[in-house]
Amino acid sequence: MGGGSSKAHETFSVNPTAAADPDNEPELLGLGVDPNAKAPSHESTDDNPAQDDEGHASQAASDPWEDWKAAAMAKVYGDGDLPYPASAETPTDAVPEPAAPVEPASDTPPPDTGQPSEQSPDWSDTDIGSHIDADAPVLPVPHELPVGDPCGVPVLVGGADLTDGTATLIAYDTPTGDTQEVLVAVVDEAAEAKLTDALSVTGKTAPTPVEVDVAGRLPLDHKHELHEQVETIAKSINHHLKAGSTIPQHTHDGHAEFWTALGAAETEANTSADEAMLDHYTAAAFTLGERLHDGYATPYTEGGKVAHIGPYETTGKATVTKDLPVPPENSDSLGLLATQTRKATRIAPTIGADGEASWDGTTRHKALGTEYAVDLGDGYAAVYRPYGANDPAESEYSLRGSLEITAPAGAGHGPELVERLGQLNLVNKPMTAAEGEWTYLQRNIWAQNLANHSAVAAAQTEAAGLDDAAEHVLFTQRAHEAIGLDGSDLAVFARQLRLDAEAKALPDKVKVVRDAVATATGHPSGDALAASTGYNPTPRRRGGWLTWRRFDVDAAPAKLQAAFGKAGLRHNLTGTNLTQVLQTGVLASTERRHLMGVSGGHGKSESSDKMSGGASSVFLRVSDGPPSGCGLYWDDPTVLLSRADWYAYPTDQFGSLNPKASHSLKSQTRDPYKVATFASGTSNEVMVRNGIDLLGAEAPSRIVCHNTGQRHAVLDLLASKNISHLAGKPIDKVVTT
Amino acid sequence: MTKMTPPDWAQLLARLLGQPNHNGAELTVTDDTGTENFRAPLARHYRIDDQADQPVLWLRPITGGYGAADRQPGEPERRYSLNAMRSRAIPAHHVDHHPGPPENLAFHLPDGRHARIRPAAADLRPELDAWDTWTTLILPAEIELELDQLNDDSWHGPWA
Repeated sequence: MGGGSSKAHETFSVNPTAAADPDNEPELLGLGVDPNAKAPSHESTDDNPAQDDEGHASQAASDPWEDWKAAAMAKVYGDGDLPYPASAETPTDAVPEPAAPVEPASDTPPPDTGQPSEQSPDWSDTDIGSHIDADAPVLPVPHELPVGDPCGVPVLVGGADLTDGTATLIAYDTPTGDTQEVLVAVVDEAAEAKLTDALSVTGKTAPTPVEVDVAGRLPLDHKHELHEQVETIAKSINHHLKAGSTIPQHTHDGHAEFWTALGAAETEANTSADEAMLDHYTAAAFTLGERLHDGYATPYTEGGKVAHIGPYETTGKATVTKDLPVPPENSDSLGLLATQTRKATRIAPTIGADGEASWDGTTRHKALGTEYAVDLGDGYAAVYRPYGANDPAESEYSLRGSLEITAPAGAGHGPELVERLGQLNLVNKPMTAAEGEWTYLQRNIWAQNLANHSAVAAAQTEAAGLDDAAEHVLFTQRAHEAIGLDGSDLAVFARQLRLDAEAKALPDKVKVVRDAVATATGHPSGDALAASTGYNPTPRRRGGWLTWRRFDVDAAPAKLQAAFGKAGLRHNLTGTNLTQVLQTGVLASTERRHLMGVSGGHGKSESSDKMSGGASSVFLRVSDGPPSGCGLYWDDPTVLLSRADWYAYPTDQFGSLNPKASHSLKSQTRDPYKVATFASGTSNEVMVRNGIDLLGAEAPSRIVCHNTGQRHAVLDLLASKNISHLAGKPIDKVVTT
Repeated sequence: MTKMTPPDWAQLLARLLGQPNHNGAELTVTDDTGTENFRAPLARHYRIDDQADQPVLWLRPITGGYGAADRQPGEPERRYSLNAMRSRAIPAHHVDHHPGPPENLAFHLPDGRHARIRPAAADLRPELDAWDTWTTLILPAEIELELDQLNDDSWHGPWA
């Protein structure tokens, strides 16, 4: 069925019946739970025990999931006391004790400095969600989206299927004045198998004649190489005009030869197209000749530069044969989604002068790789670029795992877009506060390089088994609901069961992993870690994405600031670019800018950054001072290094995350104290995922302008956005020359 | 092989980079096993930053080119994303001159890799010519001059 099932995601081809076969019951880890017992009633209490159909009291009032957990935790922790009660509650109301400071995570066990606790960071910026109700959504999915906002609205999705548990909802304006809403996200590679299980993938193509427009130069042009001569002369003229050097004699000679060639071509011209072509190149000859005259003095930037003289081309229709995908076979009986395999693309939004993003819902740019186009029905469609079908050496690494779901035209589809993730076997419920901590822990494991710590590695393995166990338990409880279902409905039942199991297991997975992270970072327990200074699993909204913080940096920001000394983080910009960046308010990665509609690079870009993964990040450098030209500067590196999504190199590497990319990953570091040792003014790189919100809590402390005129323009721009302060200072202290 | 100081190798570098309508230079980076990690033609500008403790050479590998699928008659066949071609830096405290052929400059990188600048091979010449067309004939003069500053960590706007 589908694209190949994983062991962890079984589908059911047998319709379970009320009379279960005891020889074929799913293994329940030998817990002694009777799979034939009815599921405990939701109304069951100690005073009113549930009864079966014959009026007999049920076996016990216990919850089989709780029973299983107790047994499973015993496996993890041995015969000792559990570190927490065997319940689903998260200790959200714990009063934090003053915790011992924790050294930044490294490969060696952190020593206890005995220093007093650091001042807790200011959480007063845009907090999202609350710890008051662990089961409430961290971030409710909005019905209304800001139309034309290029950054979109980030939403948190439960489970562990999406990178960072994050999707972004974007509402584009359309040329017809309507709204086109899109959900974008990156699917975690571990979740791909179950996604493809939902698809009926076909890679079949057939040669198909297609009529296309073809443009080309005329034979006379080719024969006399007219365009080649024009371009050679123009390049030489522009090069020397820019440099202020004398245009060499051979360029003058070439111009004279060009006139000769034009004359020869004129004697052979015999069509109106030939005549039009000659008129085009004759005008070019005069334009070039003007600049070859002695005394030509028009400045290069004020019209002196010769504009592009393109080849004269005519167009016509031609029929070519292309291999086009054949329609997928009918797979309704299996409940699979019709899917077309095709060359990768990206949506092609544009951004207007007013900063509003627009997309017509159909125009797309080409990209390097393979994608699945999926019909979700009811006007919804998905596009997914699978890890498995995109070799990192031959496709755009940044695109792998990316998912789009487009809604029918119109507004108000936000919650439905999230709901449609379920059709792809992905968790489709807003993330709860308890679940948010899972993402927070995973990001900190990556950021603090804890994955190879023995306790963390063991806990991750154990946590993966909890999903399977939860699925077994839920199957026991709900098997009766599958009675009478046919093939496709049964597949839907099975998929939802798995999704619910993963959501159910997640809070307990959090506890297992948190305890291991505590061990790895020198905390006495998971509870102590959760109560420690700097530990805050609440994400922050930045632009159209969410960021998670590192608890090691947040526990001791002053110490990291001292390690950096006078050095900060810098991003150089040209004068033109500075204004454009501040207009959008975000310094966004290449991939994010594609979604915002502010990116160039349309078409099949072979950019090294896209192949290496650097296109998902923005680049900064450690420097002991702001840019000498224009740019942005953060005097306090902890503003950005407290994020859990950056990595760095001491020398230029193109920010490689692609293990098959040409660049070495050996010198990559995520240790902020190592970054503090980077030499200023060198080729070091600090890559921050997605981008930086320049007008909010991550604002630079200095915005360096090209000149006084630009400074006034920038101050006016910020005032038009009602920005009076940045990084805690008045903007006239931040914006400098 | 001769170890060179910045003023000496800068002249050689300028000669290798050349000017439009002529051959230019390519950059290759190899690791400590000799495996080539990176290779690309170079834009015809450079900047030496000697303010830091050690000199740094700033260059622009030509890596952001793409075929213009929606090209209209008369427009160039190849376009460039400037944001995909930000300035790159090579530590320049240890530079060797190899007379060749082909003549080249070798930079020792701190992580054991080597960066080498040499005349562009024939297979890279079309890319170099297309880049020259883009910069000298397509880009506005102001953008072209900003490019020459080699002081950009990102590009934005219509030429990004």
